[in-house]
Amino acid sequence: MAASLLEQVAQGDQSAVGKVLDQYGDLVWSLARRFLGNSPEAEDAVQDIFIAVWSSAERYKPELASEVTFIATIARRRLIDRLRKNSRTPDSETYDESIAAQNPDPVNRITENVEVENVVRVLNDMPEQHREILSLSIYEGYSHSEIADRLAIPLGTVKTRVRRGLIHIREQLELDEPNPQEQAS
Amino acid sequence: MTRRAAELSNRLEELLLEQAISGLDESQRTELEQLQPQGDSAANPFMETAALVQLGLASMDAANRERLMPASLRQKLLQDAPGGEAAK
Repeated sequence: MAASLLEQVAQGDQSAVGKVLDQYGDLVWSLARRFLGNSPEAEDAVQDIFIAVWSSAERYKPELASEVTFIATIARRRLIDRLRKNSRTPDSETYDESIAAQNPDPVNRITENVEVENVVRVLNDMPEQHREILSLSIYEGYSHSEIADRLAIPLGTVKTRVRRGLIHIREQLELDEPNPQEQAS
Repeated sequence: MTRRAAELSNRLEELLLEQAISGLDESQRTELEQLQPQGDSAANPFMETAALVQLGLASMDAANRERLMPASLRQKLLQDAPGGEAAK
């Protein structure tokens, strides 16, 4: 079986570095921009993230997670650390439909990933407000108190919904994992 | 499971969730290390779940269509990479 891109990076393959950036660069950039809201902050974060990716590449095990999940997990740790140090600034750039129409979707590759497909299905099955709270917290980096103010709901409700939402999604994803005994039969 | 063990297990889960959602302060990190003395302190299953949630929501977010990485940033990333200018 061909080595994954991260395994190739770990083996010192220079060309694999460029391929990792081609494959995941735009995705990491879009996650950072959405989470931090500020372009210069997001740029610094993306640099930190990929430095961590290069130094972690030899720890990547394809049998445990997909590359995109591995990289996204590293990204999440770095983004949380950065947000804790600096308060979130609103995303000042507006969404331009004409730009969107011209550019290829930088995240379309991840929709072909089974893990992502499964989490999207679980998210779509959730009540809309629960999904919105998760989105504001996990995806957009808003604090619980900011979410409570924005949605005019109690702070305790926000905290409970985010935690229970994450637990629920994890349980659902574990149900989706293939049973090794079923695979062997 | 004893009551004390159940309390510790609940507290561990609480800290892992908090770490994955918004990170931990220093005292919480110390507490987590004490609750996970033998395990990999970097291992947090909820962190991976939260990362997957980010990916899932990103794939559902139409505004991501315009979020291509600036060319200047890509250049910096190549310089930072193993074998890049920064490594020479």
